[in-house]
Amino acid sequence: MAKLFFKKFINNYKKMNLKNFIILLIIASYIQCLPHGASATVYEASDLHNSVSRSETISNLFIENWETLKEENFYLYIDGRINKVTDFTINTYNAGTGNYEERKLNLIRTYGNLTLAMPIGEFRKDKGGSDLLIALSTSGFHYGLTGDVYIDRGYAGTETASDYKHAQFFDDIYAISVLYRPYLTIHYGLIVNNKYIPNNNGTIEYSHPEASQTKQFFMTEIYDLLSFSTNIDKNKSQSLKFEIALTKLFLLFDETYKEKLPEIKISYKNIRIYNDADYDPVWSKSPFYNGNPKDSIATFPEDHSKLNIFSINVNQPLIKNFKLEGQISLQYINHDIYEKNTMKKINAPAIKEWHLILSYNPKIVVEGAEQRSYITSYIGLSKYWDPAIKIHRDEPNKGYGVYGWIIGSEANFSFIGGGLKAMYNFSSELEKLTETVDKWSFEGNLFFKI
Amino acid sequence: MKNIIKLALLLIILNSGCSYVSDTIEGKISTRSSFSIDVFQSGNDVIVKWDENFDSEDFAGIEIYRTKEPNNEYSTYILIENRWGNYSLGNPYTASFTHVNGASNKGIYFYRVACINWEDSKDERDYPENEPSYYIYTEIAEISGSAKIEIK
Repeated sequence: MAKLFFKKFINNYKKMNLKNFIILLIIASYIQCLPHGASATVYEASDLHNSVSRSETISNLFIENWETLKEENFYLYIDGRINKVTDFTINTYNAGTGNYEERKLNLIRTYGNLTLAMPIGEFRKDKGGSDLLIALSTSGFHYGLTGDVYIDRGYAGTETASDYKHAQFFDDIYAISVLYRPYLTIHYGLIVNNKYIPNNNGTIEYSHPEASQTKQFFMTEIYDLLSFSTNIDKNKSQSLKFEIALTKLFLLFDETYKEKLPEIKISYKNIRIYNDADYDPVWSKSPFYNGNPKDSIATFPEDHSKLNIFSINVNQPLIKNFKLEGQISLQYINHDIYEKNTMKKINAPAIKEWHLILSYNPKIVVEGAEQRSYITSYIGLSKYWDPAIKIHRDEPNKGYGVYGWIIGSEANFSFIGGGLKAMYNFSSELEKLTETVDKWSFEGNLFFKI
Repeated sequence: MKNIIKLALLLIILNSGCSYVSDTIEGKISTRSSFSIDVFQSGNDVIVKWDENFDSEDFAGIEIYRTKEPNNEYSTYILIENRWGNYSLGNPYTASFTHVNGASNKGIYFYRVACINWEDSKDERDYPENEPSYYIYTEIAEISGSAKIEIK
């Protein structure tokens, strides 16, 4: 019954109102639990299989969402985005020929967030006031490759359908948040990483993940000045981050230059990202164990390397609604790392990432919602370094570093909004998934807020 | 408003991950294969079976497809039959189809089954629900994963 109801909504999604959209989301969440009908091939990749990296991505998206939400008064917030990267040429099994063949697949990434907030008492009237909120959130990110299927319907024309291909990853955060605005924010949640291998026929059985992990996530922020976040796996921190809003801290003591100073934030982050796993792009500490190459031994004690990142981020308003945002991140890996195929030591440069984004934010007035409404267009340039880039790029001899760019636009009309962007090798995208190097990436998002 | 909040709260409490929800929506938009079918040979025919109920106000018919080329899983699928060639495919409860003489050519083939819906909801259809309209105003609402058969 629910499936029929859902079908009807999909056929009419262009005319969907908010209430129907929410009901659709709820019904859709159960449809994926219905049984489908053993196992396909797996392809080797780095970041996709690395649950440390994926947990970092989903927790960053969660924090990113709250960066905008924490200032707003709302009961319900729903955000969805779809990101598509085309032309992934992957060796894929053809059950007709019995051979692996190169096939162009699409990488589809979908993200969803649902947050329910309840004020204890009343919402504050303005930013200067204080209030207490409790919020429940669920945010999730799905990554996976799909293949197009072409259907010739005769007189009715040709349509395209799609099949899941290779491993599919579903990462979710279930969190509770307490906000004593503007003084203190605390988020605590569970991160659930699930990996599925699709059936040979292109469908998935959601009730049987091939691998499943649960981690904890904690984040706190004090007076919008200091923040700390960490992802914990088996009582051990996988990643942690500290951030200080330097300008805001300075303005606490002297407000003379409030309008003139750029907004500066500094941060330190560390991630246990290199763990000698099959999917890691490098060996940690040494490519050898007891004098034998690690890749020639079935089991050996894994070595771990920690990536330390120091960043400075600057936001500077320019003339006539233009704003410039820049960031530079320095890295230090606490042990040597080595290429897996050549076993050569990799000399990591000091600069891991930098980017510059120029945005244009014209003032708009929407009746009754002018406070939080805006339209922003932006263009940016970046450089990103990562040991996995050389593995995934079209021409590996070009090395580990890559320049990229981004162009996009987003609109926020207080209760509804969305955005579109196109990226090519842009650093924030490569940080989420290095496999997207040398490929176009397109993303659209839509949100509702009550 | 209260009902919406209750439903949203239920979603969170019941641990339904947003990754699945967002993927399901994307899967519907891109017509992701969503159910399994079985095929087997019976003499010179091929029998296709499925276990899905396609009943809805928008249901227009069931279509059966097979790969155009033998021995190629990724070949284009071509229409084998629709409701205008086989009356039973106009019934949403139909759960099997016999591809007569489907086993007359040797090779490995792949079959799929699709539920076809009218593009517009019942109260907005300003065209008759006949064969010419079917070819203009319908679309694939659901499609199965592939099912392989080797004809020797």
